[in-house]
Amino acid sequence: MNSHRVVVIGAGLAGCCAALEAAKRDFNVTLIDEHPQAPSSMSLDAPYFYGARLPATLSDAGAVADRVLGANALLLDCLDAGVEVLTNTCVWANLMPGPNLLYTDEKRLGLADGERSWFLPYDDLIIATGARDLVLSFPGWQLPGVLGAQAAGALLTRYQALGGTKAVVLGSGNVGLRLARQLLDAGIEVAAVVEVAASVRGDPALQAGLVAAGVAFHTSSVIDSAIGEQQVRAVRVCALDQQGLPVPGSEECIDCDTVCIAIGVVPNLELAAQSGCKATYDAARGGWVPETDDCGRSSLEHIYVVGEAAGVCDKGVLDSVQHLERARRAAVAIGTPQGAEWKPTTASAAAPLAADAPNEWLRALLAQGGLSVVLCQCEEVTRGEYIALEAPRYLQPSERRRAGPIDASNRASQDFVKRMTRCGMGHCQGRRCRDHAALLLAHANGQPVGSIVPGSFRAPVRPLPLSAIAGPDESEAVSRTWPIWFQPLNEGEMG
Amino acid sequence: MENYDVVVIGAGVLGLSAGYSIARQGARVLILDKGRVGYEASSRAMGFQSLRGENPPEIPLAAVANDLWHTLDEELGYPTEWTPSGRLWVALNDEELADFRRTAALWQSHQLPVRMIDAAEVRELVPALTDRVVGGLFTERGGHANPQRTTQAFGWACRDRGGIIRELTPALGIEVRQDRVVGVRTTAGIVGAKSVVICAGPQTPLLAKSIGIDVPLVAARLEACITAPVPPLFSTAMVANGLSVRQTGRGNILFCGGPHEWVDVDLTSEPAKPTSAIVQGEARRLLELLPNLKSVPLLRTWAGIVEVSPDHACILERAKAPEGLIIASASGHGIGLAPALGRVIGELALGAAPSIPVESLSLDRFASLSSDWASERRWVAGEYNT
Repeated sequence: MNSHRVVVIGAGLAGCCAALEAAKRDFNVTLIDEHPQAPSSMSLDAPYFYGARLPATLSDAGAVADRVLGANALLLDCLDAGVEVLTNTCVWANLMPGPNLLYTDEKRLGLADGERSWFLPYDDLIIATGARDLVLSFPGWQLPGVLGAQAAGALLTRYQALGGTKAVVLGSGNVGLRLARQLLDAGIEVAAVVEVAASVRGDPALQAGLVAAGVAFHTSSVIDSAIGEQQVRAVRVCALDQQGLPVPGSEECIDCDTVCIAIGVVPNLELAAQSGCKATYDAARGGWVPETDDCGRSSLEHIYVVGEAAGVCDKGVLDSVQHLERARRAAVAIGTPQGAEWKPTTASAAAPLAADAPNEWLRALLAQGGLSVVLCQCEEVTRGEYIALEAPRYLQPSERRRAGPIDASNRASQDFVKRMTRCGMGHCQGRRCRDHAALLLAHANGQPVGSIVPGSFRAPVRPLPLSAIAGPDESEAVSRTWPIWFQPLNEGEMG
Repeated sequence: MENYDVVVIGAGVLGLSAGYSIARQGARVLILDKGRVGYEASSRAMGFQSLRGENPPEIPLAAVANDLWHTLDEELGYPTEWTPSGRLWVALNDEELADFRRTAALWQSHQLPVRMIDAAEVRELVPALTDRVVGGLFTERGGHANPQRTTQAFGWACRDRGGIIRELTPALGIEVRQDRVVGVRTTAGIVGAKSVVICAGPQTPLLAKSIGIDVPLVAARLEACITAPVPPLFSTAMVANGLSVRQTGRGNILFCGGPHEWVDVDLTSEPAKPTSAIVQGEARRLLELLPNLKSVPLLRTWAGIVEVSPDHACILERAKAPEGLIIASASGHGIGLAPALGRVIGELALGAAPSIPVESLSLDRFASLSSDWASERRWVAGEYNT
C-alpha cells in the first residue's frame, strides 16, 4: 500500500465502489460513514428529516450497529480489501489552505463521533454523501410520525426501526413508489399515495405492483394537514381541479400513523460547498449541484464528488449504474493532474416550471394551506413571515416592525432573507426548510428558483455537541500565544 | 450624471450610521457598497459596546455612543437588541487578576466607573461559570447588541429619511478636480458628490491610495462560533478565557476569539472567509468556562475580515487635500462606537465642526510611522498572530 491517502466520505453504493477501486490501485484508503447514528444526532434531523418519532429501540447501540453494518455488504467488501472503515463518524468540515487561510499547507477533514472530534489529513477526497429529501410543509408536519422518504427508507431497511404500522406517502415519483414497496415488504400498510399531478409520475411497473397490492393512489390531490395530538393519527387530503386549485368540500380523512414526504430529492451539497467547490443549478440533477466532470472531478483539485451527491433526480433514483461508473472513474483519475482541460458537465436545459414536481407541490400546498403554515420549525417562521421579511418572533411584537428589503434584489438572496427572518438558522441548520424557502422566494418574486442565490454552507456541516467538537487540550505554545483581540502575548502557534 | 451632497463608500455599520445622520439633516446622500448591506465585518461582529478605557483617544466617542445607545431603538425605529448589562472580564488565575488590576487603575485614571469584583460577585453575574473563577473586572456601563440588526436598523432608518443605498456597486476611485472631490468612480459609472466619505473597512486604504493618501490599516481574518439557543444564562458582555462571549436575544451563545491571520483584499470581490481548525480550540475554551453547555450543539462558525490601525484606534480624518474628503475606520470597534462615529462623520462631511473631540484620531498621529510599518510588524498576508 502506498502512502497516498484517499478519503471517501459516505458508504453508500458510490462511496463503497470508489473506495474499492482506490484500494485496488494500492492507495491508502479510508472510508467514513456517519451511520449507524446515535438517536441524539438523528434528533437534529441530519442528514435526513427523521422527524420527531425516533423509536426507543434506536438507543440499543450494539443491536443498531449490527443491523446497519449488516445491511451493507459492500462495506464488508471494503474491509476485506484493506480499506480503513470509520463508521458512526461524521465529517463536519473540510479545512483546506487557500485564499485567506495560508498558515497551513495541510488539507484535513474535521471528524467527530458522539464523544470527540479530530482531524484527518488527506491527499485526495471523494465526496459520496448522497441525497436528502426535499421537504415542503403543511399543517401538522411537526407531529411525530411525519418524516422524509430518505429517512423512512433508512429507518426501514438499515435501522429496522420505523415505528409505524400504516403509512401515507406524499409523492408518486420513483422515490415515493420505491418507498411504498419497501413499506409493504416490511409489513407496513400503505394507506395511500397522494400526488398533486393528474397521473402517477414514477415507474409504471412499480406502480402496477403497488396497485396489485391494493395501494390507493390519490392523484390530483394534495395534503391539507396531518392530524393528531401526541402523534399522527390521520391525514386530511383535498382534491385539486384541472387548474391545480383545491376543490372546496372535497376533503377526506385517511387514517395512518406515518406520513412520508417523497416530493423530491436534493444532493447533499453541504460538504462540497463548505469546501469551496463551485456549484451550479441544474433542475435535471436535483437543483444545486457541485460542478463536476465525467470523472467526478470538482472545480477544486483533489476533490471529487460522486453518486447522488453529484446530482440526482427522481427519474434517476432507480438507476445506480451511471453513479457506480463515475465513482470508479473518480478513483481511477486520482493521481492524474486536473490540468487546464477540466470542463464540468453542463447543466441541462431547464425543464418548464410546470413540469417540475416540487413547484407543483408548492403551488398546491400554498393554495390549500396558505401563508400561515410554518416554514422553519426551529425558529417558527411562517411562509408569509418569510416572504415579507418579517423580524423574528423572539422580538417583542412592538419591535417586529416590517422593514422590508433595502434593495429590491435582497429578496433574491437566501442569505439576506435568512438574516432578516432567521429562517434556517436553527438546530437543523436549514436542512428542513432551505429548499422550500428557495422555491417560495422564487414563487413570490416570479423568478426561476435557479436564480435565487442560495444560502451559504459553513462548518460544522453537522450540528455537533460542544463536547464533541471541543479539541483536546491545546499545546503549551498555543496557550501561551492565544491572543485576545489582536493582542498576542507572543507570535506563535495558530491553534 | 447623478449628484449628491455626500457619497459614502461602504454600507457597513459606519457608513450606514453616517448616512443616517446625513440624511436626517436633509442632505442628499448615497451609500455605495461592493456587496450587500452590512454583509462583512458589521454583521459578523460580537456587538460589544465598551467605554474604550484601554484606548484613551476613543473615550469621548465611547461616552457619547453609550448615551446614544440607550435611545437608539426609538430614534431609528427598529430594534438593535441593545442590552445595557455592562461589561465583565473574568479571571481564571492570579496572573489575569493582576492584569485586570492594572487595567482597572488605567480606566479609573480616566474617571471610568470600573471596579474589581470577587469570584462570588462574578458568579452572581454569570451563575453558569466554572468554579475556577478567581475574580473579575466589571463595569455597569456598556453592553451589547445584535450587530446584524443594528447595522440593518441604521440602513432602514437612513432609507426612511431619504438616503439611498446602492448594493453590488463597488467604488473604484475618487474623482478630484482642482483639489476638491467631485465624485466617485464606480463599476456603474461616475456619481457626482460635494463630499465623499471613505469608510470601506479593509478597502479604505486602497481607495485612499488612488488619490495619494496613505491610510495605515491592515486587514485580518477572525473566527466566530454560535450554539443552538439555550434558556437565559447571563446578560452581560463577557471576556474570559481568551474569548468574547455573549448570549443573544434569541438565546444562542455567541463566542469568538483566538488567533488571527492577516489578509489582503481587493476593491471588487468578496474576500474568502474560511473557517479553520481554531474552532476546536474555541469550543474547548468555551466549555472550560461554561461546562454545563457540553451537550448544546454548535450550529455555525464563520469568519470576518476586519481592518486594524497601528495603534488599534479609530481613524477619523478630514483630508486637507483634496477638499471634501473624509476617511473613517473604526479599527474593529464599529458596532459599539457606531452611533457616535456616524454623527461625527456626518458633521465632518457636511462641513460642520465635530461635536465630539476627535482631533487625536486624525492621520496626523501616524506622521512618523515608517512606510514599511506593516512588514516590520509582520502584519502582512499569510502571517498570523503577529
